[in-house]
Amino acid sequence: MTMLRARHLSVGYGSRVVVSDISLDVKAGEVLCLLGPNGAGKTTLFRTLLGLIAPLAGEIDLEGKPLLQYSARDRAARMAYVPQAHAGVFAYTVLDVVLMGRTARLGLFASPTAADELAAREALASIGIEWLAEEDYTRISGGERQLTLIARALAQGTRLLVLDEPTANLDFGNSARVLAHIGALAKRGYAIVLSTHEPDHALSIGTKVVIVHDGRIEATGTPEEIVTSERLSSLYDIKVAVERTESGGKVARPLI
Amino acid sequence: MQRLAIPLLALALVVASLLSVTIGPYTITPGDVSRALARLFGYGTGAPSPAEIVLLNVRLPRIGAAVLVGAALAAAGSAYQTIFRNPLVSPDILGVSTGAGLGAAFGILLSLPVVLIQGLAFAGGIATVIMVTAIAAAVQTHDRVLVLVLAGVVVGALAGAAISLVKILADPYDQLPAITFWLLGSLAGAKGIDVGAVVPPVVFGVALLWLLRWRVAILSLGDDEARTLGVDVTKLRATIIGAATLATAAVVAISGVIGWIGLLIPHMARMLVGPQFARLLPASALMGATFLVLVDMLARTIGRIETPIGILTAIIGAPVFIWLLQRTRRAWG
Repeated sequence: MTMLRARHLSVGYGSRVVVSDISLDVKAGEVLCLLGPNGAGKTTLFRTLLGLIAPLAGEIDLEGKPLLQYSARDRAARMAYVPQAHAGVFAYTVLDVVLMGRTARLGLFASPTAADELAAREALASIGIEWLAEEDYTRISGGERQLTLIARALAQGTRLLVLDEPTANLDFGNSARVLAHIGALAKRGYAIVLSTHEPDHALSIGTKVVIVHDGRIEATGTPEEIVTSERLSSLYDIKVAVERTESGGKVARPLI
Repeated sequence: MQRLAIPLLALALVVASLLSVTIGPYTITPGDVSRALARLFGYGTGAPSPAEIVLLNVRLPRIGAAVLVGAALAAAGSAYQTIFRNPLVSPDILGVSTGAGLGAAFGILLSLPVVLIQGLAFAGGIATVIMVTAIAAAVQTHDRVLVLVLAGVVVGALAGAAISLVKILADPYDQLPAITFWLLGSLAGAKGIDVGAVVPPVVFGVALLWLLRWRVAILSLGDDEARTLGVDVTKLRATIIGAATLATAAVVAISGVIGWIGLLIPHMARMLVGPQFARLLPASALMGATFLVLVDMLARTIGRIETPIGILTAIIGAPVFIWLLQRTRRAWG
């Protein structure tokens, strides 16, 4: 089932077009990677796909219905957003942060119930961080924060997850851990959209890649087809070699 | 500890209020209190003693005002700090106190009766916040919170200049001290009828914040995240600002400008019960009420004349706040 589809989309602010003529779609079980250098317009495209800003042209459908026809609440019941791990301002517990994912299911004046708390604890357990529940969100590591925000999106109960550079600011080990969780979620049937500026991420967990460059979509396809030495070399303006490893995967290596 | 905090804070408020009943320039004994209570329920004999009259007409309204004003300012402060995602914010951030100050100063300049001065203060506070939110809404921006705060600073500065102008025009022997005293805050003139008039807007504003308690916390994540979690950010923020402004403007109208409570008390409450708004709001309200009951008791006893409350809260608030900054820096860093 197609969860999210964009056709001939132009995104930007006011009269300034940042990226134009974008067409993409993501189905259950797929990991769609938006790949591009910093400043390519990935964030603007993301905010548009999330319904935070209106597209300048074109259409976005969420589960077959135009995105702009959803209320904030109905949209949140179908699409969950995982922002880049941030420190937060106030020292909520990890459990409180995950519980905030249940908001769209609560009435205007309601607070989470015992059932919501159970769902939040299950979400934490499903990515193996249930032991963090009572910790202060401001005092855990960046990798743990990112996993907490993923758990919050799972607690939201949607089948579509949208992740903004989920490994930005994470160290080598935590990046790998977060990517492994995202890959596992796709295998469980989630539809996933993630933005990244790391070609290796697209190569390791992407099933579909959209390359954003110079205000347009440069290529769309499987990682195998389009994440190539030639493409990356022109995209980043340095020589890059995409090489097959002994384990059968592929890595992008800058030739420096 | 966290579960017991709110009942303990409620107990502290009761103790502080009882203590405050007996302390003041006119000594009132527990015996006077029980006699006044008995008379209230129809068991009294003979004429009321002077102590009973002071208790019913002066002391109790004053304590009632302290509870309401302290609770409203701290509750509004806790809501503002949460939705503006900034622990350094106070209820004055959108200009409600400065606007109320301008309204009151104008009323004093025109030698209006007290009730009209209070009405002008209330209207001035509400009008200023409406102006600030209208200006902020007219600006095209990505960062709504920043624009609101900046608009608040600008309009507040303008209202401050207007207050200075009124002070220059005021009669220096009569009106000017009255304006100055009002701008420093006092509960000395609080009457039972004032307190009664302020109860509905304060209860309505704080009750609305309480009903929205879960969503108030969601706004502390920032606009984009709150929206993707299913919250209508624009409407919710306007409602919260409206509720907090209503309560603040109402109490400022009878107490004058009392600083520090809305900034300091939510901090201390957060240290005690954590940032979750469902606990932060009641803890802030109870602590704000207790604090002002005690400070007002000081205001009427430490000098031969009434000490303005704003001076006392500043003397107590500044060092406590510096100490808090040292302690809690990491918790919201």
